[in-house]
Formats: sequence, structure tokens, C-alpha cells
Amino acid sequence: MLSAYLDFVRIRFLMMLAYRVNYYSGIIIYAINIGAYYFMWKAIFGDAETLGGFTVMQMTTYIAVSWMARAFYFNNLDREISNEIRDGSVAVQMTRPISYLMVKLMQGFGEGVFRLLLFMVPGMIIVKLIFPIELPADPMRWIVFFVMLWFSFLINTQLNIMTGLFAFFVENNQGLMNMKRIAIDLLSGVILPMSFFPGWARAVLSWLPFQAITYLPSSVFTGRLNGSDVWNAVLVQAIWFAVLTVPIAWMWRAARTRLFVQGG
Amino acid sequence: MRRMAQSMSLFREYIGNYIKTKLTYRADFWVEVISDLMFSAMNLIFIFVVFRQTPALGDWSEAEVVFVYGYFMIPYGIFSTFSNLWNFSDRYITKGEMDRILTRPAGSLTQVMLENVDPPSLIGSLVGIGIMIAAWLRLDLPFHWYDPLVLIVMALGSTLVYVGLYTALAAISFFSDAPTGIVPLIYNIQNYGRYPIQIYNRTIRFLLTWLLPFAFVGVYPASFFLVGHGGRAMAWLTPVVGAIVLALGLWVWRSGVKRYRGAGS
Amino acid sequence: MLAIDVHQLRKQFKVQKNREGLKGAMLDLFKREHTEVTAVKDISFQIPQGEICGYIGENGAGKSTTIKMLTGILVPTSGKLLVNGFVPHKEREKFVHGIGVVFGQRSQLWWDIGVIESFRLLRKVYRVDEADFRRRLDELVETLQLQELLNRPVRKLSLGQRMRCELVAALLHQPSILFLDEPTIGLDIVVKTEIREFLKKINREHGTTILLTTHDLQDIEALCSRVIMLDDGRIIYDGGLEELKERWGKGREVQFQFTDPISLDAVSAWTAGMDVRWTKENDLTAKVWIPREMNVSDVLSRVVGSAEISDIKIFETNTDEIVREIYKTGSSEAKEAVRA
Repeated sequence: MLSAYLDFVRIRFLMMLAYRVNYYSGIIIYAINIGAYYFMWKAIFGDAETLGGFTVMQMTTYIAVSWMARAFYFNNLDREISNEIRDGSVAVQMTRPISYLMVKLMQGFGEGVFRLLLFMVPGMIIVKLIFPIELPADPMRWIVFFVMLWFSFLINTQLNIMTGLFAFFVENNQGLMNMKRIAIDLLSGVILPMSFFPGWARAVLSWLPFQAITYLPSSVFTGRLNGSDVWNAVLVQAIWFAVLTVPIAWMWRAARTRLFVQGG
Repeated sequence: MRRMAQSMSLFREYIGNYIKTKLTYRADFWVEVISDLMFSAMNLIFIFVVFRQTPALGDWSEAEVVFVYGYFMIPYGIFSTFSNLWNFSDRYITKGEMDRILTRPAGSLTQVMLENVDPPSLIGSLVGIGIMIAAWLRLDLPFHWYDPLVLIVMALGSTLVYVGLYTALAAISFFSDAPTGIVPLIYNIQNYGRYPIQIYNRTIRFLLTWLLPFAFVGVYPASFFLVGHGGRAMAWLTPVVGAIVLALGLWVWRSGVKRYRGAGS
Repeated sequence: MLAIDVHQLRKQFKVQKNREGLKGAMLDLFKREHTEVTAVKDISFQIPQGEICGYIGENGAGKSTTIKMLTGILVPTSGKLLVNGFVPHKEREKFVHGIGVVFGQRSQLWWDIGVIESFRLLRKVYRVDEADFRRRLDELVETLQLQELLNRPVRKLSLGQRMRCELVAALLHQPSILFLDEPTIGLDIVVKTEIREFLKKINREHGTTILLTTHDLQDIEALCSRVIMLDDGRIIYDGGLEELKERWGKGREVQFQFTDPISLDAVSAWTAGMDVRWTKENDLTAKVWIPREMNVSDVLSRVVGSAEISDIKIFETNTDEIVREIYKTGSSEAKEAVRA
């Protein structure tokens, strides 16, 4: 059973390898992105020592690690799922003796592992050579970071799955998918760390799942969170992961009923 | 000339069909408009949040950066309306609709563009004009009689930059097995063209000016109207760069079609 | 005059080789290997104006590739090609005014709006003038009985209705050659028959040359005076349908219904010395297979003389079987024989 799921990971990994133009251009473009953000933030800092609680060095590291993390957790499962719902192939997949959502999760994971190994690692080395960033020396921090990265992936994938499953209930969920993408980019902390937002916005955002995707792991990695705050951050992620399984399970049940009882 | 006339009459027909289609899916239309607006709102929020921390970006004030953003939205809206090629690879190459295009007596790119017209994107251009006017007033910029004309020329030049670049990118699917992937990444890069070019280092400035000339869809042409950010020469290059990029894009497209038909290497 | 003139036509593709496994995929990332595949191997044929010609072959035999070259979508690797007096890939836009194309699996109609809107758009695309368009549309709509469908969106049409609309869409500009790729795929028998009748009518009244690929040999039997059979990029048969049956139909089958129960031994004994083969269907029915060289009446007279018979049926080997036979044995001597 497990080996079947692992095979989905492997196949997706191989699939990603097959598109080499994507691969090469991807590395270059990620480097450009990080570079552009680096200079923009340098300009934003101007002469200031710290901004929003970040030093320039922390900010650079934060940007680099956030983009790298994004490479790992990012996937297009929402699009894939809604396409498969629309063209009806989801019904076929449901007849297989494995869980459809699990398969999707595994495919996303295969993609993530691909980018982690072939994107993030070489990318991080390049970035380290070009830009002044500071990697944590404490091995424990690395371990915690990778655990948190795994949760980032899970939570982002859960949000993707939910958006994708909406295709069961509405005729067109294109707009919803766009909005979700915007929300994740803006509110998860990739383009702006939470601490830059005004107080009231920060208060609202701390009650949303988005910050668990980028802001928390990157804050741990850059050393902005320490001691018990680190464990709190992991806990927040774990709680969001658990909470999000509920609406997914509910939507999936409703979708199945719709599919089998009403014939789509 | 005759070709042009035919394209125009085809365009009317396609828009007509688009409107009829959309009338059947009215909700979609509004969802698309709203998500477009949300996207602009997100970009503005970014600017506002950043300027909470700092009074100036380089030597650009908040209103100036907002002004550039307003300009940036205008050509982008026009481009998205007429050159909506995001799904090209999937729909025309993977699903094979390119074959049908090639059995029709009209230019292949014209047909593909017309089949995907997307008028709601024009609303973004209107919002952009609004933002520009608001920033214009706040900056207390002088207004000359020729400014609207220059704006039209600049916006068209910038639109051509987009059309050329994304046509070339879409045409990559003729050569490579990569179905998607590059386009959304390039899309990220285009956003850097709307911030003051001076803040970047030489490499990125060079890249945004000459390689992926996204500085010509934002900061260069917009600085024509601003006082004290130099480079009117760069602003006037906008239509020139637009024409060159378009020519390159069409060339890549043509060799792509050639390759698709098996005449290439 | 020739509608289609093909001489030594060849098409090669470069196909990417994917190496196996993780290591292979990693290697592919840095260096790709390609193999050259020849989809169409120096074929030649001529189709005169006004002919309906069937183009058959198994999947991957090179049918679609040929059609794509004939319609100007693909450029041949080598060889000469003249369709309607044009070299298709050279003057594509001018050339396509004279042809109509239907790909059975893909729609050329606008999905969400009334069929008529798609037709209007095509009128503009092909620059047909309004009066001609009206006349042509009325004629087609009448023959195919599409009156009520015209304002319905394509997504609400059944497959059969859609296919009829596709045909109209391909014929609006009065092409002199019509290319059909699997026009009857997935349709029920009634619609299939309707479409065949329609194609015959178009061919009769307007002299439209039709080249169709199909897997349904009933299409061929109903429509085509001529068949071109393709296997592995080569033409293995080009000629009349009758001739194909003549040469390849290995024999006939006769089914007898007896009034009294029979046994296989008994019936075999009646035709002792003849090169025939009996099979028993049930107690009262048996079939005998008679090779083509032998006279059916010889066998009949023996059987009629030996037992009481209530019914006789004679079956000609059908095209389906012939074609299957050619593909099966095809590879070596059979093909040589046809080509010789």
C-alpha cells in the first residue's frame, strides 16, 4: 500500500526531471527573483539599522530562505484537481483502491522533493556565494526548520486541495484559485514579513493559516524566533494542519455524495 | 492593408462571440474582475506597507512609486485583453488545436490571440488610469496638452514589449517539451519593472533594460511625466524597444510554427 | 485533373528517447538522446477530382501524418506533393481556402454559444460573401436537418448532432476537397448512415473530392470506390474495394439449415474429396467454408442431394476480415504480393 503511494512520489519526480527547459530556466529565474528582492529591500532599508525588527542580514537571509521554501511547498494541485474534476477523470480515480487525495498529496510531494534537491540546494549555494546571508550554525535549528518545512508543504497543499475541490460545487473556480494564490503570496510572508504589517493587520493574520506557510519557518531559520517561541511556532503549524483536515474531509464526503448520488 | 482590414473584421466577430459566451457565464465575469482588482490591491498594499517603514525608496517618494504602478497597470491591461496566451501550450500544443488553426486562412498568431480575447482585463487599465490621476494630483505634477498623447504612445510601446515577450515565451512550447513553468516565473520578474530602476545593481538593471526589458513597461515610460527622475531619453526609447521586442517575438513565433510543421532542423 | 498528387512522400520525426530510471532521467537532464522515426516512407498515389477515397491502416501506420501533410499542417521531409494545384505547406493561407477539414475527435466549433455563431465567424475567416453563405448554409442545413440546432450551444449537442455541424462548418466555403479524419468515430449506426448518405450527396452534386481515414470499414464499403491501405508508413494496397475482396477474400461460407439433426462426420462425408471445411453450429445447422477457386454450386449440389434442407445462406468474406487478415499475415509475403 505504502509502496504504491511512494511510487506516485517517484513518478512525479521523474516527470519533473523530464522537463529540462523548466529546470534550467527555473534556477535562473529564482536567482533573479531573490536578487531583485535583495536590492529592493536594501533600498527600503536605506540607512536604517533595523526595520520591522529585522537587520539587513536577517532580511536577506529571510528572503533567500523564503523563496527556497516556496520552491518546496509550491504546487499546482488546485489546478490539477479542478481540471480532473471538470473532465471527469476524478470519478475514474475514485474507483481505484487508493485514496485520491493521498495520491495528489504524494504527487505534490514528489514535485517538492524534486525542487528541494535540484533547485533549493544548488540555489542556496549560489545565493550564499553572491549575497551576504547567514546560515544557522546550530544543527538543531536545521532539523526544526526541515520539520517546519514539511508542515508548510502540508498546510499549503491542504489549502490547494480545498480550492481544487471547490470545482465540485461551483461551475468555475478559476477566480477562487487566483484569489488563493494572491492571498498566499501576500499573507504568508514571502513578499512581506508579517512584522512589517500594521498592528491590527498582524493581529488578524496571526489567526489565519497563511503565516504558518512561510513566515514561521523562515523566522525560525533566520533566528528571529528562539527558545520556546520555536516550539510554539511548530505547534501552531501542527494545529493548523489538524484543523484543516476537517473541512477537507467534509468537502470530500460531500463531493462523493454528489458524484455518486446525483451522478456528477 | 487588406490583411489588417480582415483582422479587424475578425476581431469584431470574435469579440461578439466572447460577449455572447460571457453572457452565459455572468458570474465568471465578475469573479475574474474581482480577482484582478484584488491582485492590484495586493500590489498597492505592498507599496503602502513598505512606505510605512521608510520615507523613500532610493530617492522616490511613495506617491511616485504609486504613480509608476498606476502606469504599469495600463499597458498590462491592454496586453492581457488581446494577448491572453497563458494556456497556449496546453490548449494548442498538448490538446492539438494548433492543427485546426493551421487549416484556416488567417495568420496563426492572429487566430490564437483572437480566440482568447479577454476584455475584463481592460478594467485593470481603467483602474490604473485612476491611480495615476490620483498620484498625479497628489504630486502636484504639471499637466501639458501633449501628456495624454505621450501616454498613449508610451502605453502602446509598453504593450508591444509585453506582446513580444510573451509571444516568444508561448512559442517556446513549439520547441520544448516543457508544458508550463517558465511563464509564471517570468511573470514574477515583470513586477520588478515597476520599481525605481536605480535601486537595483548593475546586473539586474541591465537585465531589466535590455534582456527582459520590463523596465519599459513601468518605470522608464512613467518617469517621463515625473519631475526630476531624469531619463526622458529612456522614456522615448519605450516605443522603439516595443517595436524591436515585438519583431523578435514574431520571429520566434514564426520559427516555432515552422518547427511545429517539421520544416525546421 | 488530379485533386491530389503525391510522389515519393516522406516524413521523418525526431523522437526523444527517455532513458529509464532515476539515473537515466538525471542523464537526460544534461544530454538528450534522439531517435529518428520515419512515419511515412516514400509513398506515391494520385486521386482524381470527384473521387471518394478511403485511407486505412492501423494506429500509427502513418495515416494522420499523411493527412496533416496533405492539409498543409506539416511540411514533408522529402517528396513532391500537389493538392488542388498547390503545394500545401508553401502557400498555406491561399491553399486552405480550397479544402475542408474535419478531425473527428476535435471540435472546430465555439463551445459555449449557438452553432450559428461559429458558422458566421467561419464565413468571416474564409471571406465568403453573405449571399453565397446564405445559400450554402440553407442547403446544408436542409440536407442535414439542423434547423432546430442552429441556436443551441455546442456543449448541449449530442455527438451525432455535433458531427453534423462540424461537417457544415468544414463545407461552408465550398471546398473542392474534403479531408475527414475518423468522421464517424463514436457515432451510433443511424447517424453513421446519415453522414455517409450526406457525404455521397455532396460528392455527387458538387463533385467534392473526399479523402477519409477510418477504422470503420462499413464507412469504406458504403462510400469508397477506392481504398489506400497503409502499414508501417508504406502503402500496401491501392485500388478498388471489389478488387481487394477479389484478391484477398479467401473464400465464401455457406450455412445450411437442415430439417433433421446431423453430425459433423456425416456432413463431411458428403463432400469427401473436396477442399472444404465444415463447422457445426447446432443440431440442425452447419456451415461450410469454400475456397475461392471452387464453385459454390458444386458443393451445393452434393449437399442438396444428400439431405433435406430448410434454408441456405451464403456469406461473402467481409472487408473487416480481409483487412484483419492482411494486417496479420501482412508483414512479409502478403504485402510483397500486393505490391508486385
